[in-house]
Amino acid sequence: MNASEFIIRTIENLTEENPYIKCVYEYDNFDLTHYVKITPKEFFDINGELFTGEEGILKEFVSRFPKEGLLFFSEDDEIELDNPIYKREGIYYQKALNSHKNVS
Amino acid sequence: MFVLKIKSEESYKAGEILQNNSLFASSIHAYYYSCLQLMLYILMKIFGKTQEDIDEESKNKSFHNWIINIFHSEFLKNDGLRATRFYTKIQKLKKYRIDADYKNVEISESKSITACNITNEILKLLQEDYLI
Repeated sequence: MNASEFIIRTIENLTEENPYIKCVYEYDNFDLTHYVKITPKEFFDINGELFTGEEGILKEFVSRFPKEGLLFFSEDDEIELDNPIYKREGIYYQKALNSHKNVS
Repeated sequence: MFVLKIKSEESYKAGEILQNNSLFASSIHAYYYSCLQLMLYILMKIFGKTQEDIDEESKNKSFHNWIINIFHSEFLKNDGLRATRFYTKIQKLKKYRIDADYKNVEISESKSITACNITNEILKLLQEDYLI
């Protein structure tokens, strides 16, 4: 399994375990770094920093792919992905998005 | 004599001066390198690596990911949460630096301020763990 396959498998697991989230994945070949944007921002902790399980994912990633980098981030992080190579929504993501829109 | 710690302090000050003069993209570059230079200082002063060791071990790799991953492993020995916080912050700042240096995107004042805040957090994590 290469790093991209690891990331895609991780996204599949995250969106199955958390069906109200969406993940967008981009790989920067110049910097050998994988970027995964996760929405909504409420998936992350109160500081908008980490999510449950991130520690284990990063630990495994760094140990298996020591030449590469990985960043999970959310919509508040002022990072745009220009060329995503993979997207996946949990089965309740659209429903959660619509109910959030209706409330606000 | 390890001048990298002084270089790190100078890069941080350069970041502030550049930010105060509305040179936001360049400020992010300086903030990122203030972290990288402090990490290199710790590698040499605390871990005892020579320049030759660093050149050899980082050969044929992304130098930035190589050094970030070394520090992630070192933080992990004591505290997994601090390791994750350090890793995420430095990867985020690295992405800001790539956007600031190479991408055809405008860099706002708010992004420069966020980069400064992330830098402060990274430097604090390093200073606390390595008592420097």
